[in-house]
Amino acid sequence: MNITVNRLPDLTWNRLGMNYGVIRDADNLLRQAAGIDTTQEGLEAGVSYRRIGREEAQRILDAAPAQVPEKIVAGKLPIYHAQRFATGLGGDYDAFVAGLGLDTELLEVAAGERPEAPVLWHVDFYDSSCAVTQQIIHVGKNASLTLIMDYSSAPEACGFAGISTKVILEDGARLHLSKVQMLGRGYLHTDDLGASLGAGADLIFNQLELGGEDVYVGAQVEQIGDKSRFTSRLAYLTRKKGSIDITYNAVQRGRKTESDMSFDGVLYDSAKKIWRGTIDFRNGSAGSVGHENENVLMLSEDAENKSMPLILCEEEDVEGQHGSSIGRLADDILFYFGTRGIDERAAEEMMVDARIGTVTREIPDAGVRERIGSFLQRTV
Amino acid sequence: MAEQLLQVRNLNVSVEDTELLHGVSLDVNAGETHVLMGPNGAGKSTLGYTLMGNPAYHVTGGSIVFDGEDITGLSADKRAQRGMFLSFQTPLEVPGLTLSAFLLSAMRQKTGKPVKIFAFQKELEETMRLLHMDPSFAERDLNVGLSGGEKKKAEILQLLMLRPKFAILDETDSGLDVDAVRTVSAGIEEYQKKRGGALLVITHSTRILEALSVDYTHVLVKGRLVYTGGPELVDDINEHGFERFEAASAAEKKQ
Ligand SMILES: Nc1ncnc2c1ncn2[C@@H]1O[C@H](COP(=O)(O)OP(=O)(O)OP(=O)(O)O)[C@@H](O)[C@H]1O
Ligand SMILES: [Mg+2]
Repeated sequence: MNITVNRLPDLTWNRLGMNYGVIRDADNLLRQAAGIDTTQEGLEAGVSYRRIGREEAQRILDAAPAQVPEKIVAGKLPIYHAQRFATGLGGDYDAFVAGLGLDTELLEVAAGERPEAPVLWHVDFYDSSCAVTQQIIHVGKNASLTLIMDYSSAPEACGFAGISTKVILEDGARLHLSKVQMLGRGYLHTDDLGASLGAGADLIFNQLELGGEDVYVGAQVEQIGDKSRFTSRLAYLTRKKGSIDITYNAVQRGRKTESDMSFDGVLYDSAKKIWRGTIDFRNGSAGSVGHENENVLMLSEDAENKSMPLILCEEEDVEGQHGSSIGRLADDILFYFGTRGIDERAAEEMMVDARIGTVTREIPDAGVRERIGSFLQRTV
Repeated sequence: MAEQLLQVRNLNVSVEDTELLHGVSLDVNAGETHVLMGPNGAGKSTLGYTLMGNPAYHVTGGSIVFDGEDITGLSADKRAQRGMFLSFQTPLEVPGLTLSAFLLSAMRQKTGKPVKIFAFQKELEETMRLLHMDPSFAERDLNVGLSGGEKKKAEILQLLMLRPKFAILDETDSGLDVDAVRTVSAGIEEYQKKRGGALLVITHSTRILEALSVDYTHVLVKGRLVYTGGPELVDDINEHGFERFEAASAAEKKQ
């Protein structure tokens, strides 16, 4: 059995092998996958954590800011209908996780609560694990939360590490979410995000994909409420024969919504990467703006890069922008570094650090930042 | 006799198939300050880049000897490690890399040894004070979001921290306000006097030269060094422009 993930919301391009990603031979995963323990630190008053069953989870998702039933537009896959709560990796993956019958972890912030300290959410994957964890992060009206999730394992470990995160931000809510993946080099890793944003809600999402072998990440952010905002920064390193398959969709439905997504990656050796980044201006999104920017540093001739930026507009009064820079370290950078006595190798290392650093520095916990630093030292 | 530092001999330089410099020769002794002037597009930056080893500029003839060693075929980083420096006309922006981290790496690479952090920080602070730079700039991303003037100051900061023997300043004064020119000049003076550094100053104006003692002035026209004189030449050019040198260049070409 294969699991199709990361479908592009529009198939008009129809480039072979780019419209979606495939996790092959997933039967093993289905047979073996189990839940895994997670730990949470920094749960202050107003923030609660508990495990819930499937029905309660569904009730909570159904009560999220409504994902307006939409017309099926010609040429557009009705992928949002396939999922009651849309996620980046999509319906097949969601069904796979649901099929495992695991509990959902629920982290809730009560309306109006704004705890200052971040919640640290840690998942330690043991060697040869085949583990999945799913959670709902629900931030109440005008509440705010900083959450840092990190996934790690022993450096040489392998296995499957699946994450599925659904975020509900009520009107005026704010979530600063960081996900840091520091898995061993043999991991198949999936990380799925679906988010539903109410009016004036603000989602800031930092994602670091630093380890693992084959990585699939997807994020679908439904900006339903007027003036909702979504800011994301993803940075990744892909090495050896590793691969990463990325889909981010900012679905802007409310009036005057804003999205700003940046993607910074480094490809070594014979690494492969596919990225699909869509800014999707829906009916009713007048006055909205969206930006996406992709930078890929190719440190090997054998590395393979595919990029699929997409801006879809059902409204006229919107502004979407895409920027990119893809390739080897530019000659002018090398020369500039050279004039200061820095050779090509050192310049490359510094530029890699710089790319990861732009995301790392946004993670508001010194301990996590330090662990990222030592993970990078160990692996580079 | 003054200690020889840089000897450029009959340098021909091309980009793609166009020759931009034709038979340029230049001698700079340790501690000397040379000014390079010339009309727009004459090839001044080209000469600076070539001396520093920018791979886009091909040396098709002649040689560059620095500190007794032929460096014509060396890469920029090796030249810098031997004591050369180039301050850019338009410095690059590098998001994610702070000025202090960049400098620290550069100093490590240059010396091949670990740098004493405390002493480094102290020197950095002092130098920034000298250049009237806000200390917070050290932890900001390299040149990102800096104004033109601030970028130039950051270049001079690096010049002072890295202590090269020979520095090429490519229009470090252009686009600076009066105060900034004064500050930057003070920084260059510090390099010149206290550190005994040699300079090739590419400029269009005299303001930056007021604070510096100049040994020689060269005029470059259409890729040829057509005239070398003393410091008084700067004022002469300011008054009369490049016309007579352009005429001389045309005559030279005919021969
Ligand atoms: N990389 C390049 N590729 C093609 N042509 C170049 C390149 N660099 C310089 N040139 C050309 O060489 C000539 C000299 O340029 P250069 O930048 O050295 O002049 P300059 O004297 O520094 O001028 P300015 O005073 O305007 O800074 C110009 O005609 C320019 O267009
Ligand atoms: Mg120039």
